[in-house]
Amino acid sequence: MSSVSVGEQRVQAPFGRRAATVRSVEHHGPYTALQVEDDGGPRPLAGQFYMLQTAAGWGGGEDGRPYLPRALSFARVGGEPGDLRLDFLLEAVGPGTSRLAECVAGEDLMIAGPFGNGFTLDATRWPVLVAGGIGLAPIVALDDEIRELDGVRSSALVGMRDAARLLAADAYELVHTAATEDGSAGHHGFVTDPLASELDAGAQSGREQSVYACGPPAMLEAVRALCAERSVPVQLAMESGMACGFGACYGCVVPTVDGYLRLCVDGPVLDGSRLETALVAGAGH
Amino acid sequence: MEFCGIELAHPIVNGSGTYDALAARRVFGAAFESEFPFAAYVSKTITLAQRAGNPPPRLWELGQGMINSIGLPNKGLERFVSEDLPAYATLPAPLFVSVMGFSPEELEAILDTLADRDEIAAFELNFSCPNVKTGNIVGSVPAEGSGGISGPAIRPVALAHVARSAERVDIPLIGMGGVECGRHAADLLAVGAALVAVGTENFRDPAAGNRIVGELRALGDQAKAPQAV
Repeated sequence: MSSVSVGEQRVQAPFGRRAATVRSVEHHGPYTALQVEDDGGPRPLAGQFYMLQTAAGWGGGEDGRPYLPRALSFARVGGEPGDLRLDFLLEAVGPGTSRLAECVAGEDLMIAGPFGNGFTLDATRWPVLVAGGIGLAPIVALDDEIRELDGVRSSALVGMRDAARLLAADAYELVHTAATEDGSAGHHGFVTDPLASELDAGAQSGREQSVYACGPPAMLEAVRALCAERSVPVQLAMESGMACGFGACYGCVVPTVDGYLRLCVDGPVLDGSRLETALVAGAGH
Repeated sequence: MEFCGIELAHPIVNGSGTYDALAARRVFGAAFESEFPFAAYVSKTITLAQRAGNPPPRLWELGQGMINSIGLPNKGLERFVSEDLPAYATLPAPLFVSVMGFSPEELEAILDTLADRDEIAAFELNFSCPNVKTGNIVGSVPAEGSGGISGPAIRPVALAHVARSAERVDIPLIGMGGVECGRHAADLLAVGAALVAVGTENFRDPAAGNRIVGELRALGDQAKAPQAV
């Protein structure tokens, strides 16, 4: 269905983990954006992710957690290798993200990555970018990549629980159509409503489209199903609980038509045609 | 140093199933091989038939470690030999292949197939995976929400067991359990382990093996240095 081969689009990581200093911390509603100085890593591809832990105080939370590093896609990359700036967007929902959200400028993280594959942009089709919640991060990164290309125009749709979370999309100057679950901004409802309209309008005008999405499992499944019904290629950046990020622990598998795949090395971006469902146990935590 | 007649550069190896060297080569490229973190590489356990492993979720975080219920996913013996063994043979360290049989006959069949392969320096016989239901089951049933505990949480217990085992047997032992740094490895070596395996710490630090070797050497140098009085 897709004219591009999704899966091997990756930039390799330096071996091991490295110190990276938090340069700034910003808050967009309940979301925290950490900008990190990575002087030892290459420029990553949109959709790739890093394993993050704080250099100090990792393990001081409730029940002694967090213990394992946390996998986060980057939202924006700036600067050049040797002097790279990486933005990570997170919401404090558990011991790991809570500790990361407490970070202050000047504090050291230990990071490893970039890991996984990135989106494989098919520039022959009109890209439709779909973000849900904290899944905004790799969608911002992909939008940045598209804007660096000449003559490629795209659409972006962002669904959030409320207007406060939508502030993050504005902070990254992502031109988008908004949907909120509580109706406090944009369309009142799920982001899949404007997506269906966008795909139908594209079909009516004869515009070939390709969808790139990241968000919670239920949203990704709805996006996958909408695209499958319309035979529109879709790439989904998925999430699963993972311990290592580089294929060692075998913890992050998701079921595909080819059996279980480790999301860390064979994803996190998967072609929708490889999935019977994007509703995956262990994701969205 | 020498272990069971195999020449090794240092005493740090990986625990089986805690490092996929072939995936690491995809992720880290050439640096992974030039800075290879282990004196010998222990493969993930292979079984006669292919196994998909347990359904997700497979991991739970603890304060000082984790619980896993992976379920020995592997390609099975035939595809291991045709696909993975040639690739493992190019790693810059001796290869220890971990195998598990669901019966003595099955184990014998696996070892018969692999015994003459020059790529393999040693075998690990896995009798203890807690997450699969077999005749030699030790531990738990994942469907009931339990699994294998690893990480620093088990370190004191592991150290005690290695010490007791070393007192009772004359064969070389590989000590493991919650090793995070050179000091922890030195403790296992001090109670009688010949080698030390690093497992869960690899997940937090892909180059943990190299770091631990360095820390271990620094401890040795300290011990040799004249003590200030």
